[in-house]
Amino acid sequence: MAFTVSGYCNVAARARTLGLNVPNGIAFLPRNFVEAKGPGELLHESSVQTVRSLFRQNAIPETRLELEGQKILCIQENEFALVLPTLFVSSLILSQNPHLLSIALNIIANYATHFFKGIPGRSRVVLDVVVEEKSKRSSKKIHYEGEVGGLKEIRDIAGKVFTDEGSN
Amino acid sequence: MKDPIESFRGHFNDVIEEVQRFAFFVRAKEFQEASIETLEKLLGECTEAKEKAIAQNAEGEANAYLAFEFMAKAMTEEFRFYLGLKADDPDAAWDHLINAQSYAASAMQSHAVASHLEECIQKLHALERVLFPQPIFFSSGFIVRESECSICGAEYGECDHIKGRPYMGKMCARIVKEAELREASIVSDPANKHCRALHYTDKGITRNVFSQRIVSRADAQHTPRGGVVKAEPKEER
Repeated sequence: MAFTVSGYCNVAARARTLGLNVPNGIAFLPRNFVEAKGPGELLHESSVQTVRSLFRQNAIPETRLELEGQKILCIQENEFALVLPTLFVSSLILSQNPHLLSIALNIIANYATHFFKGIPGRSRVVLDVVVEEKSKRSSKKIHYEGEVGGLKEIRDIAGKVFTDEGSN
Repeated sequence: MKDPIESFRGHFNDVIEEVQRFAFFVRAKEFQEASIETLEKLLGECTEAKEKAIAQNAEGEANAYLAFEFMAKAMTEEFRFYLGLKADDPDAAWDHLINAQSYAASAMQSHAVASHLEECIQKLHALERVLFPQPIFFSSGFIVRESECSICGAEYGECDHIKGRPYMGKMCARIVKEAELREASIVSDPANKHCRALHYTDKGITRNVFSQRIVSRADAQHTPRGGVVKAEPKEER
């Protein structure tokens, strides 16, 4: 299991530049959110549709980046790993409603467990979680690649990243 | 009154026990062929029971019968795998073995009546490792422009069905209707193990990757498996 934490862009400013909705809670970021030249180039991981349905069924509120009538396409790659969509968590959620991230991660972990049922030796999950700083000027990206069981640790890392940023 | 699933499970297990003793390579092929016939009959019974459960709107039961169907199909494919090896057709044997693995996993995902399959699945994966050299697998990357839910026909992601989960006796899949190919690459761990190299050419001679027999250029181009690489199914698990 491997976690890395790295700098990420100011998500709100980037969304405005791309002409998208500004997320104020939980949102799914396209894989090329930082480097896309325009909204037409944006691509989600193909798992976004499944995770979006699961969140909806479990009453996890999501801000959709795309405007009404706009569509962000998905890319499907057929190597055997569960590449999950990048999850953005705003500072508002982390300060006022942090349990939502725990619930979201549990939903993802349950889905991943079911996904790998009956497939021995294959349980690699890739998930990026982008945590907004308290100052809202930029964000940090937590990258996780490993077994399903490690997903639950992201909650604590996200909390630590958020708290550390606030104390700086 | 006895639970209908429990009654069916008893009958199902009796039939499986009867044919399971022939699920070894060394058993005579006439017994294995007869086992396939027995399993096909059992599959028909599973489907009939499933249809009844669907008619009664009993989703849990329908999903249990779906799992029984997948288990019967997995075992049938295992017998076809042995017969493929005996017929000196490693390509067919590979396809049947991969199908058996896939059906067994689908059974486990369909209902708890198949939760005991782990040992059987381990055996199927061990057969793959021991009997075949490591194939060269391919994987394609494509942009999905349009996809729909196999259960309700809505745009996938906009309905409440989740691919890989059972609904009233049917497994949900995302059906890709329109896609744009981006790249194809060689991978060690593909989503689809049917997507592999069938032949290779060295110093002008084309050989089958499994048997190493020489394959004529014409045969290589007109293989029933569609050329060097099998086409990937458009329906995803």
